[in-house]
Amino acid sequence: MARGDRQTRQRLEKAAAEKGIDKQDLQKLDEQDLERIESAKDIDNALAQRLQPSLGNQAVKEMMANQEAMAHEQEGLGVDGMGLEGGGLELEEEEEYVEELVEDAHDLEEGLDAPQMGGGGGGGGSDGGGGPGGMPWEQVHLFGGDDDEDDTATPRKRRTRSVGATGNVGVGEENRQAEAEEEWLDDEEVEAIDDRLGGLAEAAPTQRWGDARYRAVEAALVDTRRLGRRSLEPEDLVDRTGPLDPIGRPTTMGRFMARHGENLMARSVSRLLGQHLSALAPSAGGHAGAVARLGALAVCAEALEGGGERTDRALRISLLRDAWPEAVAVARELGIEGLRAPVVFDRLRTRRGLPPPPLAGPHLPRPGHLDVPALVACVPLGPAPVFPRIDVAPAPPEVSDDADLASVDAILARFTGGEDPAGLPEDPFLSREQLLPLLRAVDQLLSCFGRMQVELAAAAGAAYRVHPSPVRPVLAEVDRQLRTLARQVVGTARQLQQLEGMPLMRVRGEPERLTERLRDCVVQFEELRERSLHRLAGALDA
Amino acid sequence: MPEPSPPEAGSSPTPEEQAAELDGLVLLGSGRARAAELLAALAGLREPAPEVDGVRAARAAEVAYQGQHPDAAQLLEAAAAAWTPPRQTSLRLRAVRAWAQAQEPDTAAIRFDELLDDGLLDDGQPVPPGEVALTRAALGGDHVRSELEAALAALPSPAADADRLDAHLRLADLLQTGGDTVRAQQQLEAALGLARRHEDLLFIGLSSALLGNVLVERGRLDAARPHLEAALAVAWERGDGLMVLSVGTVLVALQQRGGDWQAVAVTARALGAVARERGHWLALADAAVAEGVGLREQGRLREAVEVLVAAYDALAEVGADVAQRILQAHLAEVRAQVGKRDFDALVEEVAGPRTLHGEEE
Repeated sequence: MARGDRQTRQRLEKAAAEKGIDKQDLQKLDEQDLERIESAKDIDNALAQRLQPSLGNQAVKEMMANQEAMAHEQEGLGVDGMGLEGGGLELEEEEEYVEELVEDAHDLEEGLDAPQMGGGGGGGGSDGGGGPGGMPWEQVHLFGGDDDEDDTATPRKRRTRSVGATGNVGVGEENRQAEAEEEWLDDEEVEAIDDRLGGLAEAAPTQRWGDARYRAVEAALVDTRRLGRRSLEPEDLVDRTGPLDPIGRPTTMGRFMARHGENLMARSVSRLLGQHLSALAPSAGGHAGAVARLGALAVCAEALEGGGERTDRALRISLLRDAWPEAVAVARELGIEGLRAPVVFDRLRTRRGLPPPPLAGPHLPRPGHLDVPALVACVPLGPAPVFPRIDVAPAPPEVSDDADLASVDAILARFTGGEDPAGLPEDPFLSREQLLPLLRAVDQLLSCFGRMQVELAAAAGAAYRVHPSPVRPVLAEVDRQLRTLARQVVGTARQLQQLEGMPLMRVRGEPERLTERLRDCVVQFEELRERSLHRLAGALDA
Repeated sequence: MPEPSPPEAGSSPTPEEQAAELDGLVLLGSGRARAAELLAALAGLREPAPEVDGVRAARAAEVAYQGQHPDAAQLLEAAAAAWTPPRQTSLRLRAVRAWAQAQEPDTAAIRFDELLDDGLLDDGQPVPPGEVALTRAALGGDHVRSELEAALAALPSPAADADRLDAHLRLADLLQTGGDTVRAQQQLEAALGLARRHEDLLFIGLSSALLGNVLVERGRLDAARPHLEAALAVAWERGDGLMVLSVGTVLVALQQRGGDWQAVAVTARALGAVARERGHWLALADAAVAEGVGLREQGRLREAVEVLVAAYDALAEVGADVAQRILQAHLAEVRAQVGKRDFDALVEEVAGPRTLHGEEE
């Protein structure tokens, strides 16, 4: 070991000793781990698993607790639905946080961000994280993946992607963002007005009455510097979709209301708001004028739809686009063992420092017509797999197009393969290849169950951020029902697996019967998800 | 359209005559107003004849349905009990639509199935034309558009004009959602025609507003303006502040685009007044910005600053800090355009000496 390296190790050992880690245990750790311990951050589940045999549970737990506390201290996430009114993050920090979560989720979804768990492969087994490059709920090798070459394919290279401050992703977005920032007002310009007009009134929530009760749009209107620009060009209004962007938020609200609103006039105004901005915001009014107009119309659309706080609450939930990536991040932290909706929800809740959920009565009220769409808007529901029809007919032998080759093949088969043209054909049997599409679909379905645990936890988390309500019993029930359903699927899949290699004459209609049972499980899964979302939405008014 | 005739001088109509008149009314415009009068008169009867009470209950339930009353479905079902087909069928079909309107799709579907089970919709049964299609459309599914078109082809005019108008508006919304703004416009024009024929202000205003908006969607801004102006006038006349804001906010944008600064000032002031009444602080900020822009475009910078500062102060009074921020940003934008020195001096002159909020004087 070079002198420098030794010094580094001594420094790291000292730092580790301060954290109560025994010196002998440190010998088992590598330099990189020590550095991560020293910095007291980035102690994720992967590292924790590696540290645990060396350091013991308590030390690892303490480090993770420290890390969590630090993260909370640094992030100071807000309690309110928008994370803005609870004395939490500044707007830009909140946006960056949302962007990071969104990007992480994209990467995770696409399998780009290969996790470090399990040393990168080795096939099958319980790596606790759902396989390399996958989501924690992915069941890569449970039933149908062993022979699949695709499963061991190397992870794709990380795609470079630019994410704008508004949450938009696209080519050249960074340049556009930089240009936009140049156009923003600077502090001096805002302060000049502030000084001359006596500053802002103190927000007084108790004074909210009439249309002022509709405040979903306001989360994007808290930074004066970003409300104005030196000029307004029609293209400045295009592709502004970020939920915390002063143009993007009312536009997104418009699109949601145009789709899910009931009132004809509310839908009409919302359609304009969602799609026809240039007509509504002429350049003469400037950027702040456009913001005022779109914000005013967003409130009008809500008021036309009616429903007061319920409508506003639904819109605020629908705009929590960080709910899903945050839940995915938590699911990754928890690993497959903790992949249960109530557990994920609890972690989401404590991360944001939200109080424990209240208790609910046995009956949940019927949700408002915007509540379920709002939950679906903030959590992208994964598709359920399709179980293909099993193909039990034996595959015909491959015959070469070339007549000479075909003759040679036939001769070889005759003398080496034991095929006798005069003999009886072999009794066809159910091969692994025939079963594989079904078994893969089983894996997908089990992944869907895991994903649904996270989906519902994310939806509950979003709802809870906006309106603390008794969502936990709903999640506990979902978890119970999903586990029952999963046992049913696994049992059926095992029966299906046991048919492998059996003569078709013997299995008869059994594969079809089992496939039908699996299809039935898919229907039950979809119904359960739909019902659970309704119950979560209903809990909002419990 | 049968106009309700006032009773002859000296002879007060009998309850039977009132019921007959009530039964013949189209629930649009003056017909609806007359229906309200007659319903009030019949409701005061001590022991009405069963026929009279049947008409009263049926029409009262239909009025409740039109007004989207939460109990409309139950009222319709109760009223239907006193009738035989086809009136009973009509009331029960309307009750199905009322359940759907009240966001109770399951109940609506069950009630519709009960109608089928009772054989009321069988061939040979007297079924009010167009109402089954209208009800099927309300139940949703993949054929809403064709059901609405079928209903419009069959519903009799003028007797069912209220339902026809509703069908035109719903079909227009459906077409617009599907991107067929041309046909949506046609449907809205038809709805507006019906509303005008019955001089129904509510539907004239609504149809005009929807028509104006669809023309904005189509990019026909000049054609949209008169419809929005008509809708705004109706909303103002009816004292419907929310419609004033919803229509006026779009209209003022078109007026700004057209450089019609006089009109901008009038609309913006109306918007500002209604916004204050309704506590719509963003609309108040928008109205001030719109008026200010108009004044600046006419070279009246000082007046523009006065309007903006007045709105800023009004918002400060009610604690509307978010709307204040927008005005702050707008003023900063104007400052960047006009030049710091001149603008600062002007704002100081208009606003007078001030202290920052939270600071001791």
